Amino acid sequence: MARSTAVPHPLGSETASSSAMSQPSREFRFPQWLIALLFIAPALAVYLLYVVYPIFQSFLYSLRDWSGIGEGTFIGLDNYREALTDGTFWGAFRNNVILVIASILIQLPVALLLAVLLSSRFRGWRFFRTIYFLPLLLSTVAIGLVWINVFDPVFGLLNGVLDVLGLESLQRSWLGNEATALPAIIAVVCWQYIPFYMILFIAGLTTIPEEYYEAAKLDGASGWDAFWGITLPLMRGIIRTGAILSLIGSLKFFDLVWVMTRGGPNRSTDLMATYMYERAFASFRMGYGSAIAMLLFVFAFIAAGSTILIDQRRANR
Amino acid sequence: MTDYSRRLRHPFGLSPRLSRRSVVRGAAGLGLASPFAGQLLRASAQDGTPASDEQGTLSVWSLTGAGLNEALPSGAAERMADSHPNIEFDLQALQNDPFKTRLRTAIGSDSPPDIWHTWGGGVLAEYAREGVVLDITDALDEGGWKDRFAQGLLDLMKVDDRYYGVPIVANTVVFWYNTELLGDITAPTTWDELIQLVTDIKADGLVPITLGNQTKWPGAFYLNYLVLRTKGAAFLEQVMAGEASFDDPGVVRAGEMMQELVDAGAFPDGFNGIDIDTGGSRRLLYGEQAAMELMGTWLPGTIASEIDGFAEKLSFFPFPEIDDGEGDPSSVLGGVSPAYAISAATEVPETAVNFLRTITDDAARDQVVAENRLSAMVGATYEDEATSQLATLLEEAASVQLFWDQYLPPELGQAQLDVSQGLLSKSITPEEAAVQLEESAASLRGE
Repeated sequence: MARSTAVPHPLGSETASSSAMSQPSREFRFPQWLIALLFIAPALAVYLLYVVYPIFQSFLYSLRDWSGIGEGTFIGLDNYREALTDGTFWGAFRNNVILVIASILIQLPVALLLAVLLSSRFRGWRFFRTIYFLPLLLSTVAIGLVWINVFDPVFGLLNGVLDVLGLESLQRSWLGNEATALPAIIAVVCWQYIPFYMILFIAGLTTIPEEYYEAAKLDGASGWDAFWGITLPLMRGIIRTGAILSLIGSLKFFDLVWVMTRGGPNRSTDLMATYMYERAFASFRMGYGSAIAMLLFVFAFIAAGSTILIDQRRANR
Repeated sequence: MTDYSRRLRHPFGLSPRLSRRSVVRGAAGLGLASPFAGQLLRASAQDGTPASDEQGTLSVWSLTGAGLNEALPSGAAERMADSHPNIEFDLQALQNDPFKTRLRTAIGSDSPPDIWHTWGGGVLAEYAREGVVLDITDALDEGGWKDRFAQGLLDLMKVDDRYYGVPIVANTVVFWYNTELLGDITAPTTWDELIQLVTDIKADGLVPITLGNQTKWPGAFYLNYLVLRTKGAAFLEQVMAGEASFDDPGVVRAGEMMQELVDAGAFPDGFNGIDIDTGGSRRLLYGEQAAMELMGTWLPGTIASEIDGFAEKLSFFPFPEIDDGEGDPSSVLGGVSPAYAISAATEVPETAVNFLRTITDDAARDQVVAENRLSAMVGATYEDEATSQLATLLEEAASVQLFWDQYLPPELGQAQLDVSQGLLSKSITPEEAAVQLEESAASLRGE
């Protein structure tokens, strides 16, 4: 391949690079870092413009008492002081923590179970893989509206099924009741996101060589032993990825809650993101909403960062 | 039509100050508005529609809706097309909540539409004081335009004695009920009679009053109405001026009465989770599981767009009186929607004012009447009996209390929504509700 010599210096011409081999060239050569920069520049520009700059801008907004129009007034860290003593904010934070724990403890094990089952290639596995994957393809708003109807106290599917089963005592207004609204939403969140982790884990499972399982079988290991001894350890990295994605996703979760309950009733399903939205775009306290957004960013950053650090440290040991 | 002939001679009634500023803005902007626009104006001879030679686009943001929300602006644009040959009308309809968010963002980023839907009240006042909405007081004085409106409704567009918008449709809130379920009931005129009616309906195994309170404003109607009864129409203004406090026995009493309704089993199970936007409260009416709903005069129109032949079954009675209230029992809760305001940054100010003139002309009034809605313009004749009764109710009202979430500054408007949801779910006591409201109000007053 004639072009292969050009590969290390993609921006140099072929003649330039070949002549560079024979004699010390005085021609200008792009330094390595500049080439790297040029390659990542388009993506970096988008990232800086749409991610980094807004975060920086939000921070500036969060220092102001600002209604969204006009200039507002600079009030330093007052918004943060208010947020940290705002019971509603901490209530929302608590709901986020519940959502994080429930998501990781429910979504990942169920997804792993489904992934292992589907990877065993039983009859009709393709059909089930498609079925299980479907929720992820639906728009969140559609999912929310469908489930609002499932949970409807009078006309809903869930109460209807309970009625048929003779469990009328369990019937309730699932989303209208402060005790059941959050669990009901968590159930839908799991329903929506389990397919994502399932696909992630199926991909992970294909990387484990079949020979390991054959060797384990020869040694007399049961399917269960193989799962604990081979699958889980080798899936460690991908499960960690799943956990971090689930953690961050749950911390900044917004859409389904907004569609189904708007954080109600009585803020029993409020999350940091819904509370932020309500403060910024319903109460029109953009500054305060930005402060909540910054806190949300800090929490998600700390949570994700420490998870990665702890895991790396354990892996190094 | 004398109004119109007078208006023809004064095709737009902007004050000199206003014209100069708008012309400067227009010239500085796209450079499309002629500095002599005023002299170039020509009257359209055929139909009395005000005319303008301004060039450019007139963007109008209204709310979505089957009835008048979209029909009124598109009707006005059609009537104006001939007399404004160089204007392109860009009409956009947005849903309620996205509209509020998007408008705020557009104004905050200096790219507002030329004309937008408003409810008047606290939000319009905030925009007016920020200088982003056009003062049309002088235009209203031209050609008797101002006299076309019911004064009390036009005053909802007034901020610091200047006008910033025009109302088109008036709304008030009454108890609607299904006549087939309740038969010819004697409408309750006192609170005790209402409680008795609720108890009777409940005993028949029906939900007395449907309520979709996920969005909180339907439940806040009760708080707003009851405080109007206990404290009177001037109370909110006094609270905002620091002359009265929400932490008042009358507010506490209103909270107690709301909880009295809850205790009487007035509302459906889980009403705080029922979404009114997707029809959750109304389908209890359609399924004949619920008998009544406290709702605005837009309800029959909404129902007609969802189900055939049901709106005809509805009748209404006004919110009842209470014993020993300070408020006049004829006062009603209500508002205007749609109403329209003009951006101070518009590059086609004459056209924008003409648009407001056109959307409040006789043809517009006919549109409103044809939909059995209440016209904010005077001189409407209602053939529909219920609409005619509602119009009388509104005309004879001692005062019209604007919905709190529109009257109050946004933050306090949200706080009273939270408080009323808390009261109805009994997670806060009436005393706590009064204290919470006063805390929010005090922080806004800068105390």
